[in-house]
Amino acid sequence: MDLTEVIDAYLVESDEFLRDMEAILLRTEVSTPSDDDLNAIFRAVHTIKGTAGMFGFESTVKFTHVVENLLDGLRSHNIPFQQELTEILLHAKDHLSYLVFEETKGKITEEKISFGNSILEKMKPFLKESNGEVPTKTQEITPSTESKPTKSNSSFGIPGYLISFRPNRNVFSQGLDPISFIGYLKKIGTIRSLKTVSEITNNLNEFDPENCYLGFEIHFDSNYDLETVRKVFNFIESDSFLHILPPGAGIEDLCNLSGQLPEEEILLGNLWKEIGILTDISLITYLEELKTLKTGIVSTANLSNVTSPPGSTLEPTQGNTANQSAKDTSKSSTIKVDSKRIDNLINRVGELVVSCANMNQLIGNMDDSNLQESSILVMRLLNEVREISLKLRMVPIGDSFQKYTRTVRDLGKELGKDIRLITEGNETELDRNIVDKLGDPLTHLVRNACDHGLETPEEREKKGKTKQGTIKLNAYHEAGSVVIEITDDGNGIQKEKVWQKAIDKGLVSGPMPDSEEEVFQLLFHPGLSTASQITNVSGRGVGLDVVLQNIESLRGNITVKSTPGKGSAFILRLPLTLAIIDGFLVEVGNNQFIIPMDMVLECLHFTEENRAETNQFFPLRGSLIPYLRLRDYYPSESNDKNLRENIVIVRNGEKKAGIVVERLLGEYQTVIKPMGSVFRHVKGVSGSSILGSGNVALIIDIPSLFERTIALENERLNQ
Amino acid sequence: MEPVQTLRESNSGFEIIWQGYLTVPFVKEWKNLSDVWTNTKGKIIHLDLQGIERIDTAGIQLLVYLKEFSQSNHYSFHLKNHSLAVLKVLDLLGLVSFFGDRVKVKKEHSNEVEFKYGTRKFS
Repeated sequence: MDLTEVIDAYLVESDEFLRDMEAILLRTEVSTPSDDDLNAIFRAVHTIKGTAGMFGFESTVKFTHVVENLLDGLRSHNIPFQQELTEILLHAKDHLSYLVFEETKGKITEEKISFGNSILEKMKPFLKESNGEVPTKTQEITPSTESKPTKSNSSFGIPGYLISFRPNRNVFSQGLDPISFIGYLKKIGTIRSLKTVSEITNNLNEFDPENCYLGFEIHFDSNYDLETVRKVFNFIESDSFLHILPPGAGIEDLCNLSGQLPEEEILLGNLWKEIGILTDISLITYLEELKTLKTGIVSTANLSNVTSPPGSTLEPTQGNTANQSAKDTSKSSTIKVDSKRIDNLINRVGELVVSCANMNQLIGNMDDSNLQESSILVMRLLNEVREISLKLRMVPIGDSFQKYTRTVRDLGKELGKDIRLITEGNETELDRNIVDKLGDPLTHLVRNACDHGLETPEEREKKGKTKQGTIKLNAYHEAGSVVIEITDDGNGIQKEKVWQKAIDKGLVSGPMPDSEEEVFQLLFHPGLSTASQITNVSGRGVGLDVVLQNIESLRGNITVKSTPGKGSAFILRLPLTLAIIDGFLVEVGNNQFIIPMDMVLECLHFTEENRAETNQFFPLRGSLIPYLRLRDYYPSESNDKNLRENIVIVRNGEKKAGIVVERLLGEYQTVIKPMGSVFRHVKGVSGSSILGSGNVALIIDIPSLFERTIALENERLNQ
Repeated sequence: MEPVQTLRESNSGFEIIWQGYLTVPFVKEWKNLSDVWTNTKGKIIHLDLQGIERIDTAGIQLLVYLKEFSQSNHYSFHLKNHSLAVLKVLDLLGLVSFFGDRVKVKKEHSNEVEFKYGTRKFS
C-alpha cells in the first residue's frame, strides 16, 4: 500500500483540525467555551493522536496524549476552564502543528522538543488540579532524528477469532436455532464480546416473525484451530453466511469481509471496535484501507465522528438518535477528493471544450441543420459541465481569512497594540490554487498593517481615535475577478515620504507627480521601505516587491489607496480561476490574441477620423480613453494598410482603455496553457492557448500591457 | 408448552404476561395476538417474562421487534421479571443495554449469567 497519499491526507486533515482548534480557542478569549467547543477541540486532538499513532509518529502521539488529557478534563468539567488555558492551548496547538508537519519529514529538533515540554509543564498544575496525576511519559519525549518506518498494515492482527454469522432467513422453518450454535461456542472457548445486528423492519405488515432477521458479530477466544471453531456451525453453515477470521488476520481481511456483509463498512468498523477486534487506531487503518479500495477519499474527520453511526446495530434508543443519524448522514454527503484529480478533470474538460469548439466550427460550415442543432446542444451541456467542474475547485476565502485572526492577535500583543480584525465577504469563492498562493502575500500585508499601518493606543488617543485599531479584510466579486481589500484605520501612507525615499534610493528624480497611484507604486520597488525602524515584524528587506511578484504570478494586480491620518487600503484584484477563461478572439495580421471576456466592455469601429486630436486617446461618449495598437507591440507580417480597424474597450478595475485590433473573431472559450519558464518575464501576455484550428493564440494580460504602455510613455516624456 | 398471553389493563397502559415457551410456535401465533400492540399510542406496556421457560432466536427477535416497533409507534415498552432463560439469552447476545430495563438476578442464578458485554447504557 502506498502511504504517501494517506500521509498527505493526514496532513491536510490535521491542518483543518488545528485551524478549527485555533478558531475555537480564539473565541474563548472573549467568551467561555461551550461543551460543543470543548468536544470539538478534544475530537481534533484525539483524531490527530490516533492517526499519528497509526504511522508511528511517537513525538506527536506523546505530546498529544497529555494535551488530550487536559482537554478531556475540561470537557468532562473535572478541570474548570480558566482564561490562561487559552494561551497554553494556543501554544500547544502551534507546537502540535509543528510536530505533525515536521515528524512526517523526520525533522523534529531537540530545541523544539524542549519547547513542547515547557508547554506540557504549564499544563501540569491544571492536570494536578483534576486528579493529581501527570503522565510521566511527557518527560520521556525524545527527538526522532529520522523518519520512523511506517507500520505496515499487515503488521496489525486481530486479537481473537472474528465470527461473522448471518443465519439464513428461513432458518427457523428448518428447525434450527442460531442461538444454540452460539451458545455451543462457550464449550470450546470464551466469547469475549458479541454484538447482535438486526435487519428487522418496524412495519408490522412486513415483519414475518418466522423469518430470521438477526445476525451476530462475535469476538471469540479459543485454543482450538479454525477448523474446530468452524465445526460448531456445521449444521447451519451450508445455509447461512458464516465467515470466521482467525486470530492475527489483518486489516485487508477485514476489508474483504466487510465487502461481503450487508452492513455498511463504517458501521462494521465501529462494531468491530466495540467488540474489541479493532482499536481506535486500527479502526482508522481499516477505514484508510477501505479508502484505497474506493475511488474517493474518506475523511478521517468524518471517521472520527462515526462512533455512533446510523445503522442497524441494536443500540439503546435515545431521544436524539434520529437527530444524530441525520447529522451523520449530512456529514457523509461531503467527500474529500485529491486536488490533483480535480485538476486533471478540469484539464480534460478544458481539452474537451477546445475540441468541441473546433468541431462546432467545422459543423457550422456544413449545411446540415440537424447536425448543427446537435452540436449546439453538446456545447450547451459541455458549458454546464465546465461550470460544474470549475466550481469543484472553488473554495470560500473565509477559511483563509480565519488564520489572520491569530496573526493579528499575536502581533497586537507583541507590538503593544490593541487591534481588531474584521472579515467580510468570507463566502466569496476563489480557485483553491489561488487561495493557497495568496497566503504569503496576505500575511505580509496584514503584518504590515499591524506594524506600521496602525498606531499605538496612546498615539491613537492623542489623535482622537479609538484606542483599538481596526484591520479589515474584505473579499468580493467584481467583473469576473475577485477583489481582496486589506484596509486599516491607521496612519495612512504619506506620499511625500515615499517620494523622498525613492529619491534617496535614486529610483526617481524631479518633482512629485500628482498621481497618487504612481507614487504608491514605488512602494513595490525592491528595498524601499517607509518603516521608520526595523522591527521583528517587518522592515527587514523582504518587502512589497515580493508581494507584487506573487500577485502578478497569479495574473493579478495591486493598487494602493491612502488618506494620511485615516488609513490605507491595499486592493488585490485576481482572476477567478487559472484554468479556463471566456475569451474574446481578435486578430492582428496573421496573429491571433485572446482578451479575457470579463474585461471587454464593447467593440467599436476605429478610424483615424474618430481618433482624438490628442495622441493615443479615443473619444467615447464625451470622455477620452487611452488606447494602444496591438500591432505596435506584436508586429505582424501582414501589411494591408487598407484594413478596417476595430477598438476593443476593456475595463481594468475602475479604468477603461482601448485596444486597437484588425479583426474581431468573437467569443471563444479557452484553456490557459501557462507560458514556459523562458517567457516568464514577458510582459503583456499571461498565457497561451491552442485554438481549434491548431493555431496558437496568446492571451493578453491587460493590466500588465497597460502598465508597460504607461512605462514607455513616461520614458518618452522624460526624454 | 403452549404459550399463554394474559392481559391486564390499567390507566397508563397494559401489563402483558407471557408464559411458556417463547419459541417459534409462539411467534407463529403472535400475529393473532398483536392487536393490543398496535393501538397503544402514548401508553406503557410492561411485558412480564417470569413465566418464560425457554426462549429461542425467534423469541428474542420478537422482543427486539417489539422494542423497535414501540419506539416508532410512540409507546413505552418494558420487560420485567425476566426469567433465567430470558436472562441467559440476553446475556449471551449482549442485548441487556438494548432493552435498557432493570434486570434482577436471583442469588442462586448469579453463576449462570456473566453480563460481560452489552450492558453499558451507551456503548
